[in-house]
Amino acid sequence: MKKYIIILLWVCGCFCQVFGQNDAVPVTVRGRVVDKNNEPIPGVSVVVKDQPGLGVPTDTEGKYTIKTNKYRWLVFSFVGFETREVLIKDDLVINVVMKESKSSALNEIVVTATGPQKKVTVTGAVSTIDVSTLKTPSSSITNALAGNVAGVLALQRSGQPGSNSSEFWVRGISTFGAGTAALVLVDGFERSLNEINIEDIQSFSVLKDASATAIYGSRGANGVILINTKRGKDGRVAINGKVETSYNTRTFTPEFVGGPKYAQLMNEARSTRNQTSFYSDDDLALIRDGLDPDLFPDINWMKMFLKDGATTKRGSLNFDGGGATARYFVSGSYIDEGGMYNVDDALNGYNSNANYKRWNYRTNVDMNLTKSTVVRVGVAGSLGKQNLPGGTYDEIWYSLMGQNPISIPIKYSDGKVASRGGAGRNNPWTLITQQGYIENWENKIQTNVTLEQNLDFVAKGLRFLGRYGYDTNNRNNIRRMKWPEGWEAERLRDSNGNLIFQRRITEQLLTQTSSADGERLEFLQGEMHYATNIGNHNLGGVLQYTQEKRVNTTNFGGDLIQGIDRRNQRFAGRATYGYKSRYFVDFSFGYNGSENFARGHQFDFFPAVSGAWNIGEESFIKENLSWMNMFKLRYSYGKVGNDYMPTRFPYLASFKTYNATGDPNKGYNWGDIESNFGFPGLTYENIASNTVTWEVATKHNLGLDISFFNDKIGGALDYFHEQRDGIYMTRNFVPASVGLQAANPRANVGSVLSKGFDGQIKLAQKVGNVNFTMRGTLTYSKNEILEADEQFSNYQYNTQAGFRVNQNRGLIALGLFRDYEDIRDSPIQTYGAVMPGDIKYKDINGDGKIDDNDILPIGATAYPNLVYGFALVTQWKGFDFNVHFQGAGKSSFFIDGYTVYPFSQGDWGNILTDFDQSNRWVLGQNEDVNAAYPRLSYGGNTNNYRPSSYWLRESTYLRLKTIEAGYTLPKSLINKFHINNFRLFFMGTNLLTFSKFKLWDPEMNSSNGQAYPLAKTFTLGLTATL
Amino acid sequence: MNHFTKHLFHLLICLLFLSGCKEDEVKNNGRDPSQPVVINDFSPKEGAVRTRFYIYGKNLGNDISKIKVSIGGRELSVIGASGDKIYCVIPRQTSSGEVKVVVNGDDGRPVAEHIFTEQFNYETRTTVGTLVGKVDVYGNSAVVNGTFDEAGFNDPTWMLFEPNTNSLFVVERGQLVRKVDINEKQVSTLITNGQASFKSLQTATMSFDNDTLFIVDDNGQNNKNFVAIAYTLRTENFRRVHPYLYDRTSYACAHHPIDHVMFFNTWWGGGVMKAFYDPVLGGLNSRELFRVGGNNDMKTTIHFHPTGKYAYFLEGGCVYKSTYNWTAKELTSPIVFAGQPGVYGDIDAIGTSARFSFLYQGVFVKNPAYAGQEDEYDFYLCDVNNHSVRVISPTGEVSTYAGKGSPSSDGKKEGYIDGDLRKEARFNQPSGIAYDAGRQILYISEKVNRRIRTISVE
Repeated sequence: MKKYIIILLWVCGCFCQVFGQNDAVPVTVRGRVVDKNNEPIPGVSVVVKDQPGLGVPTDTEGKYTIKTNKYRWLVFSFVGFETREVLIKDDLVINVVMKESKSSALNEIVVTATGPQKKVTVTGAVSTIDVSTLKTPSSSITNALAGNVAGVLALQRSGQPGSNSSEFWVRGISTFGAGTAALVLVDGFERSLNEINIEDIQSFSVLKDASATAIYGSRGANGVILINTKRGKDGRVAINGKVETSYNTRTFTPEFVGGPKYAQLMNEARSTRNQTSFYSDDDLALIRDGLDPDLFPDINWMKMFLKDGATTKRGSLNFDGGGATARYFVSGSYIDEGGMYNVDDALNGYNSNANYKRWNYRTNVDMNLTKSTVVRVGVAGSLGKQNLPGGTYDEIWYSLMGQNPISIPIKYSDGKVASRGGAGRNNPWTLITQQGYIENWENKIQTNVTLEQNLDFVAKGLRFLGRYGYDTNNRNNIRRMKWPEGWEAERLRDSNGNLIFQRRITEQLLTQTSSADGERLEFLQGEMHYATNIGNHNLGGVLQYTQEKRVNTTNFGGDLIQGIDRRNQRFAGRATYGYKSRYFVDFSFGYNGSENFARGHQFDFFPAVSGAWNIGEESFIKENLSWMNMFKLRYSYGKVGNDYMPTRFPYLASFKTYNATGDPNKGYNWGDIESNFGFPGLTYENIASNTVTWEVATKHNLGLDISFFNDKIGGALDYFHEQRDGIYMTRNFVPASVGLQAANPRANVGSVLSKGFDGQIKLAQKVGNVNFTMRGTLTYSKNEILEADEQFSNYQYNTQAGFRVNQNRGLIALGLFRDYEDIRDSPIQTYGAVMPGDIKYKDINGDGKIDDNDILPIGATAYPNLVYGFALVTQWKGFDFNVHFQGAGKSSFFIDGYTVYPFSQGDWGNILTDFDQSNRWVLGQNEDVNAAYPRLSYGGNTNNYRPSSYWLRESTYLRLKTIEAGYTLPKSLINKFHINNFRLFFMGTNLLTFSKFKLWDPEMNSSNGQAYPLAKTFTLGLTATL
Repeated sequence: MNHFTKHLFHLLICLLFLSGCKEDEVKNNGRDPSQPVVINDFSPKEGAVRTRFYIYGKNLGNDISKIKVSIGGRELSVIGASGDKIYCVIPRQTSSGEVKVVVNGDDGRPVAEHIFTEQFNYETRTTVGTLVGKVDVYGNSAVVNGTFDEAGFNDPTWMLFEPNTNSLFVVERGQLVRKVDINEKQVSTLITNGQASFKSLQTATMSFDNDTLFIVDDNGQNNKNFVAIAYTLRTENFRRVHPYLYDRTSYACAHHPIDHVMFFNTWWGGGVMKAFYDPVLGGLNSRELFRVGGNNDMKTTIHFHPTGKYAYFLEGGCVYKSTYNWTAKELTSPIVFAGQPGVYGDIDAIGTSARFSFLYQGVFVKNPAYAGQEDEYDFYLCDVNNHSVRVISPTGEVSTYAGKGSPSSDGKKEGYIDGDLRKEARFNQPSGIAYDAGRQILYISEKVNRRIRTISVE
């Protein structure tokens, strides 16, 4: 890390020398900077314009001295004040009065699909986020989205370094056929959000409705996220540095019962079903006393192989500056996320922990070639290295949670490694520390050039923008794998007290597998902007032509079709009209083409119209309710598409031959019964579906933007109503008589309606010296399948139509059977024999038996349909403190797996302590029909262990997502060191989680908890600006 | 700067976890040398081989290499110790006697020695043990002759007990016939498959006087041009093979204990033949008496009752019974006696309600409880895939005699565990079974464990 900083400094130094040549006569300028009350302002930055260097700060009395030349501009800037520029003439004493800057919602800039736009003129639904409120100690900014960004639903599934990014959806999931992910554009190019360095982001907007995304046409239906990275500003050089160190623990770690309890429960599971128990009292005593750690061990695998915590280190450094002719922004950052596995590095000489390291760099240079021509060049890249244990993620968690405490030790007393088999059944110690390691690295290079030509000489307000970019992404993987031989001892010793071993797995000497794949994206865009004001009428227009292609080399070998580029072509435009900042009308369209569909279905037109009325600007409001700065009603309507489709060229048919020797019924048989003489026959592999095209969303959005009392109260609220039609599906219910042999055609048949709202509100108030800001966001989305390709059902609740996408479905549990009489009096349950204490289900259709026809949609979906967050930021002198709570709701999931269903896979699977401590059904002791767990069973129970309301859990939670306390050192202290800003901070994330579900982290959306737990982190860091 | 943060961070973490930063409990990994070692009691006071034996006391330490326990001079293997308890197992050939406990110090010299006033009483019990069969830690073995410590088997499928020399004839199917001399503790090879042009030797039978060993070959032929049964003689140390009968492929033969008539079977139609002297041939010829189990090609084995009253045929999961016609000196067409043809399972029940997996060899064992009754013998047989030894009473009652012990959570029934017949012992594909009536020892050979096990009173 140090090395990189030094190199960067050196490079910077070279720049300084190049620019640092000036041969005019130097003069010394001095003066005093005060505010309007004639109070001196210390720490104001005084810089000579268009000259390199850091400038000087004012001292405690507001005085400054600076050496420069005559006829240059001095720039005075300070946070919270308007920047002033003064020309040095003959007078070498320049006193300046700074004016406080007024923040106003009217001047707020929103980045939209066609560039920055004043917030007041925006007619579509766009959420903009102050990037400084996005906080995460992890490597991915996606983890900061939930509860911070109105309109985004997100969840994080895993805490594994390098794989710990969140999944997110703009306004929820509204299709089941194609992709649901939003389009992410970084500096106008489609790029991943995960690798971006948070400090590089200038603006972050989410385009939600049709009018905001119509310009993206067939790619915009799932919403668009726009990120612009920072660019250099003219004026003084600013150097920003940040270092932070985090200690990561876990939000929830599943707790399992210990060995003696496990053995006792196992005996109960056997005896309660009239089977012989496995452990005698003597055996139980041996487990308890630990007298025979070979045959009667007691091992807490989770505790053994998960450390208490791991550290993450992060550092970033960036410079920006420049002058009138060129400006630059250069940044570099580094993150090292440590893994939570308990590995003994010294043992191997290599690291088998789950680590992730990433290096990022970015250079944005803007150059004014002529007075009216600006060229912007951006080069960015990242190298992410993920290190993993040689056992795969799934195997490790399968084994950690499956390996019960009493079956095998880690090693037998004679040094043999214990194992119950290969892969996931192996010893967790072997999987984590002895199985070699996996190295994944991903290298991304992103390059873009923008040419901006002002065409005022043709017509005032006319501008041309041309963009070209290409990205290359490469992913590489090497797995170096080996394992020791694994042994399992017989259940008892031989008559001399020696262990008898069986080898479960033979030794694997070092092997290696490797793979690599890459992709290339190319992008070309031309844009024509026109804006003019005629009196009170503001007119604007944009025309845009885009073409892009993507080709990847993901192990498709000789497959010609997969090797073909994916190409899109788009002609888009927007026309805007505004009157007196009051009335706005906006029309935009995208005319899109994709090569993936048949001719005649390749192009489509996606129009959107929107309008806004800013009531706040009406004279009757201005006169009577002057505090109302903005009260803007918006409405938009339009169509956007979603062309994400895994199938290439669905309009092409493909054929295959049946191997007649394998099955005489396939192909042609020229023999006789029992003396086959077959020839292969030709059949459809894929039938041509030549009318298939993208799905189309028809979106309505009604919104309100407010700003009261000089933006002390601000907010936005949007209601949306979207219908997704033409969802791509395979027609699975074509009669067999058609003779397609499972090569079913595909068509645009599905339809989903989703409705909901999202909003954000902000309150800011100053009480004495304390600044308070409160923020809140809320996103709610509910969808309903209107139509899906499915067969007729007598029971309406059996169909997909009428329910949510990914709706949970299960039986309704009525509690447990009280006794055999209860079983006799109840409808017959067809899922195996039942005993008292087994789950009793409701006969929904009243046919006297419980079967799959009684399965109902219950609960919601496993994905959250409601995400909200609220934050409080306070500031007092140098101290700042903020808390951010985030919650999710309207989601539920079934819990299952061997930790939840005790002994469902025999002795494979640990048992949650929750099971032991809860009110569970015990024969003769607690025959409560409302118990939390049914009668135990050994080896699975087909009646009890199936999705039903009994196992349905709400994944609603509210968590203290971040808490941050910072202290900014007083200017007077740090200015001596030429430091502009120096802040120390502590941040905690996920410190508290409130949820009814306590077995594992409810956010992970895991039905069995077998995943790398989410991190609870404590971070210390500092930022400094020179 | 980085260091600075690091220190700050550590400080903070320490503060955060101050309450949780309890010092790790110092575990006393051994004895406390400053305290005396106390040895109080032992339990149980009596027991058989493999009994778990506990010594109670205080400050005993947990280093088992420092603890010696003996009963009547026979040292026990100490398995675990936990300060106040020592866990050992009673080995074979223990006798009743005084219980002595020695706890050594780090220097190897005893720090405590205790002899209990009360004696331990060693009990005898019928248990499963191991006679011979060297298998390495990987489960591999090979045909190796020599002493019991070094000898190994490859596929011991069939066994005969030869009482005159107290030895076993072990047939490794398709490979060789071995001799296990129990007195001398030696294993040797008698006959190999290549001798006498055996295609794939199958089973063997002793003659009524134990002086002739008949060996049956699966010659694969449906004609009488090849040797089906050969014999060897005690006078030639059972080493020279002579042709006995040229016939179709055969799997088993049986000599009638009284009439000395030879019966054997064939694959073709599951036929059972009787051998007779054919004057035309000037040698032995055969005649098919009946077919077992309809007209299906099958392998059966034949087991004559010691009185010659009837024979059992074993095939798949089924036991057929064929009574002997004393006048015609012929076996008669069999009935299904236990189990069902083509049906497999593991059920102890009466006759055809019982289920077996795969049956290969059985042996008649006199049951003193039946003294004076018409039939005084139980039939013990190996149920190969159920990994157990089953027993059929004369009335057809089927029960499990040994195996499938040590119930474990993985649901496994097979394994290699000695000990109590049903509670502990496990077999892995027991196949051959022989009985030493004089010493009352059952010998069992296993295909997968490749060992010869014993069931006897220890």
